[in-house]
Amino acid sequence: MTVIRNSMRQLRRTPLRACLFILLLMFASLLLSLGGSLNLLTDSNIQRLEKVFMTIGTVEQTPFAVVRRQTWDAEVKDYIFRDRKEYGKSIPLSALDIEGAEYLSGPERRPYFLSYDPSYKIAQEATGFTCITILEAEPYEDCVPAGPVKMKVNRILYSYYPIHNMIDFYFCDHNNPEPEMLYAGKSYIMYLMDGLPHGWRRSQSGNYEWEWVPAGTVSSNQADLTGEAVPNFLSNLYYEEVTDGFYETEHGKAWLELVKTVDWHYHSVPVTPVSDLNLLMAFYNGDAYVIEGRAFEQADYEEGRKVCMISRYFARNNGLKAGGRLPLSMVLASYQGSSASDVFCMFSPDYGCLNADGRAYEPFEEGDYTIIGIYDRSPGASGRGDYALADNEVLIPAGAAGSYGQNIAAYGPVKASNTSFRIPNGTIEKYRKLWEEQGVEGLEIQFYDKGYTQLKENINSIRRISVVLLLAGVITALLVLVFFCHLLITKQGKRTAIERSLGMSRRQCIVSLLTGILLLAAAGSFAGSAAGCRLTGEVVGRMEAGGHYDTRYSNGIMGVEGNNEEAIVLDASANKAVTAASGGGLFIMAFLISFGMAVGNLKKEPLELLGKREE
Amino acid sequence: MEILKAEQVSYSYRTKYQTIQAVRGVTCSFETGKLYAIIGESGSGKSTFLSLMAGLDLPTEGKIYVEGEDLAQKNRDSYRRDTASVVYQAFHLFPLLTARENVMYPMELKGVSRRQAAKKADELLKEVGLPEKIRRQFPQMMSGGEQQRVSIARALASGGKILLADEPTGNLDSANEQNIVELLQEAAHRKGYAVIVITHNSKVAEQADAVYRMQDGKLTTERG
Repeated sequence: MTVIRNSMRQLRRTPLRACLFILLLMFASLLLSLGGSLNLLTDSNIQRLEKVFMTIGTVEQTPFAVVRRQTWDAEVKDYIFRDRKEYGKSIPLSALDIEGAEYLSGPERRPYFLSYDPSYKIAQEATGFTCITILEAEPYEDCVPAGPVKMKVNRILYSYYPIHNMIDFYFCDHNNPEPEMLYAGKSYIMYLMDGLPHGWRRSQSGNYEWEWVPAGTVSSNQADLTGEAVPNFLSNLYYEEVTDGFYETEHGKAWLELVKTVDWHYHSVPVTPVSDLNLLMAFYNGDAYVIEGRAFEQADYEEGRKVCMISRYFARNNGLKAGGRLPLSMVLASYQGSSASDVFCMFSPDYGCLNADGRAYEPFEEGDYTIIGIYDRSPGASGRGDYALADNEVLIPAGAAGSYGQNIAAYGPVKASNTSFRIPNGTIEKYRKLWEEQGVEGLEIQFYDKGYTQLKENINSIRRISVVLLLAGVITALLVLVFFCHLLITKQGKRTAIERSLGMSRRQCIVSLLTGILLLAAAGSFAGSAAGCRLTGEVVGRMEAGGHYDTRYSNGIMGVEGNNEEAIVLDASANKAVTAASGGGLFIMAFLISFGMAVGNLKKEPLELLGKREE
Repeated sequence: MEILKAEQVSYSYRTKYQTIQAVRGVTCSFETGKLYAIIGESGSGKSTFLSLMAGLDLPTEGKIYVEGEDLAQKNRDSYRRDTASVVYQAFHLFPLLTARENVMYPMELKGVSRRQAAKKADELLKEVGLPEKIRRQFPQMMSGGEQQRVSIARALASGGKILLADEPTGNLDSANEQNIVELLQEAAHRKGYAVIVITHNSKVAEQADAVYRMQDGKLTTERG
């Protein structure tokens, strides 16, 4: 105690030196603590960003031309013109096989399947359907159906609504500028849907009869997996004369097959196979999110499990819940357009329901799928946008369904809505460069990273600052410690010699030398670290205030409720750990340097130090 | 009574370029109650011999006995704390401690209570003739003579039996020089210390009870 007391007494008598030492050490400690905390913050945030953010690219075929298409309108007796993009042949996905490109998912071009089950209650049921029917009818008199002509019903082969008592109806070949003559006494098979009567648009008060217009043709758009059309013999006619033995002919049989498929329009749901939920822009953008159950897991994809996610709308209409079973019977696959827009136009879809042999497609996959999750869409996210999900969209893991190569009912250009891939975060520029080197024409890639690149750059700036602070802290600490240890220890060699001559042991001399400096070092280190901790809190607070980003749907499993904003944050316990570590580290550094110098002092012979003449 | 004895003591040390033989086969003995002077030219090995006797280092050859015990076998820290104390030409006081605290230090090291040490320090400082107001002053505020008095008081505070002084008057004027010599004589004759003074001052040597001469590391008896 005497040694310590005298050591402290001597230290107290140099207050300016002691204060300067504490202040400089505090500053060094503050730099270390701040630098360390910020460095840890950047590391943990970058790790977090890697988990929260993802970078995807969508691929779209660019049209080679825009052509004006004309459609006849029998009511106004004129053509209606619409512009339509022409894409030509679909570019194969192999164009994205780029050497050096690193894909985390995909690239995949997703078809959507049509699953038919008479028990499905689909969305439009609530608002009412357009009625489709296939029937046989004959005109009361010879006529050209360039406008509404009255026809007598001979036989109804299919009708969704109960129109079996319908005796006659008005028919108009509405979009045909030169319809063929219909003859009285001849029966025609017709694929019709109900439409607005002529004059309805001009005045809604008149007493008009509903008219029926052609809805579909006996046709096939079957293609193979490369997009090549499979040749077929079908006539593409909306109506045909039923002659004797007509239904024995291939064409007649095709009409009967078509009858079987009409109900598909009323009791089918689109099923999209995915290899990564986030490749669906609806999920990636946050327009869709899981509200019950869970999203797909890696094992679901890898094992091709028979599981599915369904929309809240479909679940509600069909009384389905997560954990329940959904029978899926997938009859056809379409690479044309998106499920949302096709199903919206469900009564004139791009796909045909007959294969090239004129037969209704047989299911390529049938079975009960376990509903693992129910998703919903943000208000305003529904609709028929390219990236939207259909009201009744069912999602399954890619690989769950079997081979559908013989059931491709439509093929179209590569679209951003169904072609995408995922690459590691922060590699957009690298990918872009590789892509440009490929020189592929006709495909356009759009990247989405939700601001990851910008955010990471900001975080990297902070990291660079943190490294500078750390280095400055280490250098300052070393300089301060070496300088003051030199002043308070090495320069005190004579003091040590006097102490030795007074009979103090080497250990006592070391205690005498180190007590003061280590107390000051402890005070400076920990006070500086505490200040650094506080300052880090301030810095983080400012960062948080300036940089929030929404990650609600990034991982596809968040509910709509609750706070889903992410920001640059510092784990408080980590910050305290850094504070303790920087303070402790600095103290240890002080101990080592001062101990080394004290031992150096003791190596000098007291004889040599005290025996010098001062003459 | 013989308290300190050197027997064929030699000491050499290496510098960067050569080995220096500072002390060569010195044999002598010192008794309590006497004032000894060791005279000699600068560099003759006087101070080195004194340091060996102070236990700050050990002879490379020969032995030093303290009260019949080989110093090399003793705890030299306790030897310096309890038996031998040193007064230096340059005083070597703790600059950040007051005169009184400097004197208290060796007593506190021995475990004497702070109050007792302060009382004893005041007595010793009074004995060496330091006015009370100076006792609370720091060394740099004192004259050389005053500092050397404090240094002697500190040496006496350890309560040992050997007082070694290395040119204690080397930095003092003649008036102070005589005062210091008287203090050393008093320590030897009245307090019973074996006082060994290294000096090249003949006046100091004249007042010693015995005089040795050191030349080229060898000690010869000059008087006594």
